[in-house]
Amino acid sequence: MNDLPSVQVLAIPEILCMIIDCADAPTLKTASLVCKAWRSLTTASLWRQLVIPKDWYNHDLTSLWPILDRQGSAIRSMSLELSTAARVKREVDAELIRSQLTRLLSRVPNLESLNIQLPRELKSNILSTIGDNAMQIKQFETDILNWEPEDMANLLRACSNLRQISGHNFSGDVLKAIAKTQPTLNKIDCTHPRFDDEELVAFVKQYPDLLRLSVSLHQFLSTKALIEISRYCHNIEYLGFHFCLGLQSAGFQAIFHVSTHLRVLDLGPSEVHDVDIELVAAQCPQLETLKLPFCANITNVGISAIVHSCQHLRHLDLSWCDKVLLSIFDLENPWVCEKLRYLDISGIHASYSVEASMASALLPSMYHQLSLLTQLQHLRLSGHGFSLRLLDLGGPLLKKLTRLELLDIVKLKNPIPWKDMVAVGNLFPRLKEFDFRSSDVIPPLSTTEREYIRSALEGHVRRGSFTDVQPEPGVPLGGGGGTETEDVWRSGQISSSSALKTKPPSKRRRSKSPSPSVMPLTTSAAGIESTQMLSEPGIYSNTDAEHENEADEDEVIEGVMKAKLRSGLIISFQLSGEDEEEGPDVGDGAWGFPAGLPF
Amino acid sequence: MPVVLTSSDSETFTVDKEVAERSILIKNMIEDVGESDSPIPLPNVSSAVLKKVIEFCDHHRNDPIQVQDETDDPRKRSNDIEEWDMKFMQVDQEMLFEIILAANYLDIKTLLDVGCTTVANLIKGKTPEEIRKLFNIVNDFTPEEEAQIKKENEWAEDR
Repeated sequence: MNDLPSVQVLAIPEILCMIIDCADAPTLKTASLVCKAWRSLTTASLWRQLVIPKDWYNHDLTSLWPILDRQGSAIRSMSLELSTAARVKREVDAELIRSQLTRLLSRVPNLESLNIQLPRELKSNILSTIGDNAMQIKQFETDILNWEPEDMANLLRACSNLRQISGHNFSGDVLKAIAKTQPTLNKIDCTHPRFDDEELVAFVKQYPDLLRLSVSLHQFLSTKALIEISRYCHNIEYLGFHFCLGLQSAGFQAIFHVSTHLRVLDLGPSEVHDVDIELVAAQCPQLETLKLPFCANITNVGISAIVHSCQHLRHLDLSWCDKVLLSIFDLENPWVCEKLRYLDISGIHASYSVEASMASALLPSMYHQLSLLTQLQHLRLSGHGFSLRLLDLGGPLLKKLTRLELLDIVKLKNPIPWKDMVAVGNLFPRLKEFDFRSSDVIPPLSTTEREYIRSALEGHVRRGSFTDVQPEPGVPLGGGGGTETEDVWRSGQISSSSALKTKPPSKRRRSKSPSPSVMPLTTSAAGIESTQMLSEPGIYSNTDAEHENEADEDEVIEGVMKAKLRSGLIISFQLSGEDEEEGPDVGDGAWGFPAGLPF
Repeated sequence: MPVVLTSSDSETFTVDKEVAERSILIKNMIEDVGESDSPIPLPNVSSAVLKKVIEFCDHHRNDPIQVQDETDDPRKRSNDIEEWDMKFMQVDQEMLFEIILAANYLDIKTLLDVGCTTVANLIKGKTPEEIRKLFNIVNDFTPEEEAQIKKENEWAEDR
């Protein structure tokens, strides 16, 4: 028995370790229950990170303490989260927060990374608790707003291993405190900072080996500061200037010119231009991540330079760069960034001067190029002003993206039938998330509706001829049996529908099935016309029979239609076409406290 | 310059040097011994397994030698197999583990990685009991211990 190769292999701890390293979290949990040997190897991976979800400080964590006493030494990273409500709460029990924090930190002796959310009212003197208990941390992130430079200095004196610090509202004095006490720091993230150009420059002067510099939401950061920074820091790997709208080309060019080690560049909305991005393409061969959402000056020229030079690129976000045309997808000139895992091209090619017909002409090139990016895991294509033709044009090519885990097609130009939505999802065997709106879906006919159509057909035309009629996009159905049928069905459903007889028939029957909660006639008549006229071409051939098969597979409960994709993902939409607004704290149940614990 | 390899059941295989040298063990042997016509004995690898290993090395003969990519989170590597490798690994369980043993012995990192990922995918979605059955593992937990682990795991990170 012991000669079995599987037994031999699994007896080698190094190999078992490699196998366990490949497993995802649910598999790790299962593996920990197999036997003691497996358990001991999964512990490190399972407990590397601990998240105490909202709200971390006012819960009774009695059941957690004994667990932390056993597993705490494996924890390297801890996130303490708050809900928005708890964050803005006015009356805060600072003592409770302190004691809870002490109890947590004293049980995680090997913590390296701490991310702590605190109520806004709290002052930065809470940091002394961290300094006392987590002296070995290397990475610290917090959303404290009320900073006292002295508190920062104390924290840094206590935690002498700090490499990265991320926070809000840092003033020039806080920067000074950091520079005075923390010689080994090399990464800093400042959101909504209060320092001026000179204070920032004085700071970076102390850190010629700075690896990461991220400044967000700083309206007054100027080009001059960037030029100065470029004199001192030449090793930066991570640059972020999210929402720093005061920066201009001269500054970007100075810093890109010296940042040949750049791996991540996050320019959020900014005034960056094509010439600057072309410089990045030429100067930064190591670039892995480029985020340019809402960069209104960027066009396909800059992006073409990037995708044809940066072969290590893995993450590219061009969302809402409306001047970037689909001509970045050029059949003659394939992208060199074959390792791309994340691509967001939502809302590109949307400049008012651009013809939609040009987009249609370039769609084949787009799908062809996308099909070459076989490592893609995330693809976002939402909010386009042109028909994507996902199934007829994209389908045969997109299905090569066998690793795709997320597809976002929210806000389709024209809704597509539910059956086609399911078919799009089924192109990808590993899909874990599929984003679309209920209004992107044309619901299938309900049984009642089919009955109406059937009876109408029997009275007027022979059955065969109806299924032959394929509405052409943009051309209202005229004369054929289709119009007539639709109208008869409609008049059966809504009493005074004579006005509708002259309108093109509705293809969005969502309010009709399954419960006939009739939508207001006025809005339907107006809305119907536009959606009908513009429906996605080429995929508009639902026949009665197809609906019939489909109805057995799809489940309708309380106005929501669901289907299971081949990846196991369950997708659904509201038959009403209206999605519930998602609040910031929606979804607590999914990643909140473990079930069954008393809170 | 071809290299001759001899399996445990005395079958000989002639392969290109660059293919054979995907194995660090063989590479080191060739470097130690110098150019020689005499076959390299691989007493731990049967001919059936060696044939598969050579097929793998031949397919990957032009791949760049793997450098450790520090930015890659090991946890994120799951499922990261090329399509060819996935097909290559569609063998019975005994052969799969034989290949892993051979990759370990011959020191072929990429093959070991692919093998381990395949096993990880194999256990994905299975219950602990199914995994034990699959690999002949004895459950050495008491029911109390099992209950305790389950409770602990509720706290472990799932995202």
